[in-house]
Amino acid sequence: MPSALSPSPRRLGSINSLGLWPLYLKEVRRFSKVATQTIVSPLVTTLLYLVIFSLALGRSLPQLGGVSYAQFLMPGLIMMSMAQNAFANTSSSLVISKVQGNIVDLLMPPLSAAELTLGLAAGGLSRGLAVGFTSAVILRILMPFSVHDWLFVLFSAVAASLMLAFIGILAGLWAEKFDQMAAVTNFVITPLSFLSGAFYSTDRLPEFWRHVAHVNPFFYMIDGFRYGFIGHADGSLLAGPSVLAAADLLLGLLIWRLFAKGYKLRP
Amino acid sequence: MAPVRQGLQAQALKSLGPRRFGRVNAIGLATLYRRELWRLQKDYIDGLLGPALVNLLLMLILKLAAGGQNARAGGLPLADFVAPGLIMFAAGERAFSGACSFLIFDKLEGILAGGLTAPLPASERVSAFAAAGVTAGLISAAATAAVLWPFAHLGIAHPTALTYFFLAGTLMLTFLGILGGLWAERWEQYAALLAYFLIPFSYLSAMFFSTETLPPFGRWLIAFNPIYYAIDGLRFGLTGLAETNLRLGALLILASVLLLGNLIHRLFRCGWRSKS
Repeated sequence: MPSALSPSPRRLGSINSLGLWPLYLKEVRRFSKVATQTIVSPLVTTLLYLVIFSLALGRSLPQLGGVSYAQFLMPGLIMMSMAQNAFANTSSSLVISKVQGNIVDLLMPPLSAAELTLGLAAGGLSRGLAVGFTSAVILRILMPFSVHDWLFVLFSAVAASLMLAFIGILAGLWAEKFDQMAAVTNFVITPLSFLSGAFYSTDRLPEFWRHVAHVNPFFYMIDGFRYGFIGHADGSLLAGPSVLAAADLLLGLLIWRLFAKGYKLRP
Repeated sequence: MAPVRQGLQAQALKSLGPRRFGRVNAIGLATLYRRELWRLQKDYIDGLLGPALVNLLLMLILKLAAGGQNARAGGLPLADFVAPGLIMFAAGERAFSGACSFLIFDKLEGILAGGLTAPLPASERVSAFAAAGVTAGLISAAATAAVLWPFAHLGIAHPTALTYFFLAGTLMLTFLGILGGLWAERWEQYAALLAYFLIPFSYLSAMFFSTETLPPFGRWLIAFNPIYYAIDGLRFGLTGLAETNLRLGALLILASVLLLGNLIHRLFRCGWRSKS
């Protein structure tokens, strides 16, 4: 008869919630600890873009999609900020862990590939939403706007932050040095977010640039989010959410497989 | 054989004595300059190509957002108005962030002593930093000018003004970067300097819009921004359009360069936050 003191494997249920929760908390505390850098500074950037673009173009573009240029700009800028921050959270977490060597802390605990995916992505999602919520609240104090459709606002915010958190995990898994991460941020994420239609209505673009915008997944998240505020969309209201949902599903599955195989993590 | 040996001995003894420099330690100065410049260029993704791409994107977005509206600012086509500001910003941002981040990096890694133990007086260290910052600024400005070339007319209207405002503006930002780098002790503080000082002061310097569009209070406020004068002066050098009083701007920038240079020289000499 085994004694109560004899070692036996610890039994976890179908989800190791005792491991998943601390992983999520760690990812959240990484950014909440330096909130001036991760929440306030994106807000300042959003405000600056809003001011300079309304001052530069506000006079020549009085109305866009039925609202003033500043009101048209606001949702796109918030979404850009959410996307960039969701990406930054997961990608920097993985790259820093890899460079400093404490990635083993992620690999040693009894966390399954699905739980790793979930914990990291939820951290990025939380940062995206925190940035978006803070920016929206502060901007609402400074300028008038109303919500046309809460469903689109919330769905786009969650789906887009999740998508960028996933892309951040992919980039973090792939990159081995800070230089490589800087290249992904500078040459992939920044151009995609700048050319996403945040600053202009794609309806008015020349043919070529309209095509560029419509094959850019970032376009769909900004368009849907903006529709939620101003009630006008440049693209199809059915295609946008479907593209986002499909992208989230595919990226989630891909990352789950990569974690299971130990891509660039285990020899 | 004896005389030869004696001669060698004398030579050896002489070379063991203190090394003599002239008034300026040219070898040390040139070495420090080369080291700082090399470090600046090594970080070419975040320091050179990334910012040039962002400037290109900003220009592209302004063009696309304006559509067929022929947006203008201060009497110029919007692209021509914005391009000089972006070029000055590219140089200033590089000079500021380079000087600032390297000082913090050296402090945190504990290798600041390398520069402090070398036989370089404070004035030579300030000069080497300043020269490296201005050179790196010139390289970044050239990269941004090259990517903006297809979108804006970049002529040279007043070569003297162009040279003066570029050099003085970049020097001012290098000095501000050194000051920030000496002050900051953590990377968070560096990020804060960029996000709450450099970027707002640069973006709100009439880089993207003419001050005509501002309310009187905004115009009054912007007159306190030194980067505003540098950008306006550079724009005058490139396009011939000036919104500010150029003599006043030139004097203000010169005064701040002299003040800051003097301050940094003193701080280097007394070892503020660099010697304990």
